[in-house]
Amino acid sequence: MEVSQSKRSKSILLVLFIILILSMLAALSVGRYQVPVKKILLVLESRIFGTPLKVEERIATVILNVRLPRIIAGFLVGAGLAISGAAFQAIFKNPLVSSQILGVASGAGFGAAIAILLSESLVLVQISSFFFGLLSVFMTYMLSRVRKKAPILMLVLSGIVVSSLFSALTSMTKYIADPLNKMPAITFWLLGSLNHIAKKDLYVLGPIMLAAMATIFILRWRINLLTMGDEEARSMGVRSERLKGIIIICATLITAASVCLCGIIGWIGLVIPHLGRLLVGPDNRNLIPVSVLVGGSFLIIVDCIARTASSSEIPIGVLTAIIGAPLFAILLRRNRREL
Amino acid sequence: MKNSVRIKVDSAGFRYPSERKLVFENLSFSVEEGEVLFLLGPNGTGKSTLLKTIMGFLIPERGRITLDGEETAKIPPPLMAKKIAYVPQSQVSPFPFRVKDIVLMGRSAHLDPFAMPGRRDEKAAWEAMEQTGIVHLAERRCDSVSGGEWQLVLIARALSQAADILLLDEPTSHLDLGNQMKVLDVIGDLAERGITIVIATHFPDHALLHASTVAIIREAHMLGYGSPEETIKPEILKAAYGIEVHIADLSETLGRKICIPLSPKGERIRGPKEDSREKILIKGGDYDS
Repeated sequence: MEVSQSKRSKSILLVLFIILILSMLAALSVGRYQVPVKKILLVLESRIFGTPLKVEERIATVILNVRLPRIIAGFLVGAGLAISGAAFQAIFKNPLVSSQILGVASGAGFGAAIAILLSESLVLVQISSFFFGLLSVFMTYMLSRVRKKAPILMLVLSGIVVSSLFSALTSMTKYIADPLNKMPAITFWLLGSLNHIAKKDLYVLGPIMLAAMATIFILRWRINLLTMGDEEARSMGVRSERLKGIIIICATLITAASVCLCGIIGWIGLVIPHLGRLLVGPDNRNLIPVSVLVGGSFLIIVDCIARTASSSEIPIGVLTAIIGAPLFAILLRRNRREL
Repeated sequence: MKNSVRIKVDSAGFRYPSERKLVFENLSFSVEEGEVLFLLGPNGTGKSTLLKTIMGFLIPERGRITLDGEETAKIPPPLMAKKIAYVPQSQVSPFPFRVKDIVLMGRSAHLDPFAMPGRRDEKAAWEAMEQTGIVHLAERRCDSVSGGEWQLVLIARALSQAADILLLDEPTSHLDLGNQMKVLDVIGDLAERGITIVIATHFPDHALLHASTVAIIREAHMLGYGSPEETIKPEILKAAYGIEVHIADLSETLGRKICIPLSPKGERIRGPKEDSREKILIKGGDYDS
């Protein structure tokens, strides 16, 4: 019984990994300029092993400079939002939260918007976005606390309050912004798109996201204990407050970094962990890796649709909502017991 | 040979920050190696709070609570967890973990913060499940087990922690008769194995069954402290719960005493056989007060 259980999780992980690789190859191949998989492999081979290029320079440029950064960003953002969703759900003991529900996304969005208004520096945008993200999760938590506890419904409602406050502040920022230049920049970027991923942004934000994801990944078994409540976790030897602080900072950092990379992309943090629990159960030892793989593949595939479905690109945040909302509705109906 | 003192509560008092009244004050007692202490007292009398201050979750406002001579609130959680395991009042997790994964959680005290439980830990968890008789539940989702089974899961989790002191917060409340006895049997086994136990409960009968020491608390004060014979007495229990009780000695048939609460309205009790007269033993408790 025990063996079959862990074997099943392992084979699910393997299948999901293969799906991720396939979706990456597909994403490298499709687009306005179709590239056959064989040529992709030749480009990657010459890049990795330093051998001379056997295909046209033009194809290599499309693959390496346009599509690859976009796919890496898609993977990081999808996997990151899913992992932060799973982590937030565990530490708030609430399967209905995510960085979007808790207001982190709109807080980070506002922080980024106001920084864009005032300066051009990516570092400043990132810091401001992180700060407001952290501020919003703190506000949501304080608002929802009733007698030292944060009931599921209160947490969700407080998230809505904080979220709309920061959305309003973001609108205010747009209203003040220069309508010819800064305002469209803020608007389009907040809609969510992987269209403008710059390699240099990825070099700065990529390592931050990877580090935060790795931290959550390493601590994933301890996160299980936090779902039992602070005191119980402490009685089992966990420094609950410290661990919770680390997890919140990491999850907020991931959300803020992905907002900086590509604007607000919703629903992933909520839907993917639910899907993951359906596949491997609630144990974060399996759920966190599954969330990474499913979240990453999901966003890469959705981005493929976003850039190929119509002649002009559909904002990806709009698409994830169009796919995510009904998907979550189905999960809700099927799993009423889990909530 | 006198056993060594493990937990010492020295004129301790506690108050929640927002409240005026002390939950308990000037409490003093100690728990020795191998002792089984039952904390009795009416609802809201601070039994749970007392256990939480012993665990170091809460800091006493007055006095000191020490474990092996060290103030409990200052003991780092990983060290504390190796000495004391805590069985909280049952609350089912919002996530449907498997029973064996819940029990495995108890191993965290013996693992580095970044480590995952390995074979040795799984074996320890398995042994803990054997001791509480829940091996057959190992693969079940924790939201599908009954209240009594869940209580045994929590006790198994505490056992997998391999601490030699066990604190239990009302482990038999909300359980039916059969499950109460199952849980009490497990507690009795643990006591026999020499584990030091502190247990908060609503049932004087349970103390008569397994306690080596009983502390009866009401409104922040200690009403009685000593062996079950010294403390489970009608006058002390009346002071604690506001009703009369009858302690029936069934030593000859059952081998123990039992404690029967009587109706505050007054109850007729038939005397011994030779005395055929019916007499009213009890009349008018604290019904109106």
